[in-house]
Amino acid sequence: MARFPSPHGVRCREIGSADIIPLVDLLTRGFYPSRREDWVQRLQRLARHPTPAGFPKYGYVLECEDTLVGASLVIYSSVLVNGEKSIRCNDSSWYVKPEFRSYASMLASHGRGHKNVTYFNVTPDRRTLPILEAQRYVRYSSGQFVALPALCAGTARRNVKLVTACPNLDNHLPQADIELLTAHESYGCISVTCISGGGAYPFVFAPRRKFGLIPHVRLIYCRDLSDFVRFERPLGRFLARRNFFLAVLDSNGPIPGLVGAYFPGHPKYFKGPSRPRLGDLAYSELAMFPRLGESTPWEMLVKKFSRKRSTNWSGQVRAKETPDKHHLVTSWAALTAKRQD
Amino acid sequence: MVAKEQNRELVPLSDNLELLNSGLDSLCFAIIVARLEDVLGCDPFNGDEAIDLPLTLNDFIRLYEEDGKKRGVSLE
Repeated sequence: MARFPSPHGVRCREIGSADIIPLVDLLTRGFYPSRREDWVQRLQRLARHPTPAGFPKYGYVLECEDTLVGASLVIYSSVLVNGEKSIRCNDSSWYVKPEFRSYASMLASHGRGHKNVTYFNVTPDRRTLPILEAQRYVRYSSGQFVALPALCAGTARRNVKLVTACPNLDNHLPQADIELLTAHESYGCISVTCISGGGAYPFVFAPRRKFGLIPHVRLIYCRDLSDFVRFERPLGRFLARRNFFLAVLDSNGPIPGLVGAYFPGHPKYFKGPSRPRLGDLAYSELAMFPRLGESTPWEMLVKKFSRKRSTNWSGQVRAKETPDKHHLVTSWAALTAKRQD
Repeated sequence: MVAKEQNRELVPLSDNLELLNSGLDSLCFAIIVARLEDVLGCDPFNGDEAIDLPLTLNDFIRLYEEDGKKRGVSLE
């Protein structure tokens, strides 16, 4: 059994603004392959995100002798559940250096003791599922349904108007929905509202590329999956005009009324008072964060093979310890400037 | 028992046993903490405040004792 050096102290605490630069370094090395600028963008989005008062902006770190050895990012949001405001937290980007893995579950449970908060994890690594289940997380989605909406009949065909510009929706949607559509548009998502029969039905889709090649959209938000089924034909045509012919929806089996196929896998977990609704990934990492290292087929291949080589879990694949070739930057402004360069 | 369930080789227990070198991995600790919460009704790790994590088995037990004292519960 490998023996690890004895630390003098390991501390778990909230991420502060002074941690940003070492945190970017840690996560860039910890999630392989990932780009430094992706982590900068993730943290910038968290900085701008309207985190509910009293909850952490970024998440928590493990610190040993003034060095960050682990991190867990969180996205706290205030959302409407059955018409009432509710707090939920998306657990994201959990990484601990191999020699400190015994503390990983303690980091993952830190700050998760609020009984009124629903915690959910939408991208758990397969190797971390037993830990989530030990921590009383419950699976709420077991797979994905890949739909071909442009080819579907749908039930709503006529008198459906699609509106993409949020300022034109003041008379149709509540303010919370307009804020959600606007915020997700700023994350690079496609926000669209179907107006039919005096009602307005908001949808948010995140553009993706499977294997870095096949364009598709992931359904991020709709009020109810039945809305997607109802409007799939106009939505399908709308998406097809943007070269998206496939739509991926969370599901626990085939969805009646949709043409496509169900694929088990990519489970999602939660714990807390409000079971997340299928078709609601708003303000989660899948909506807010750019994908890591998947922008080209080559990077996808690298990721696939690095996973096969990896023997340790880290919340993701094992870090490839390479010297950081980037210049040390000393502030948020410098990080931003570096990204623009 | 947890180590046996998870097929982990647990080193002999002592007060000064370092958790990092105990043979228990993060899953084992997740299970232990969850079971202790079931029995004792507390999880000293899920608070918001910064916390010095236990380095040894003795620290681990002490953390639960202190948490129990705060809530007026004896762990005896």
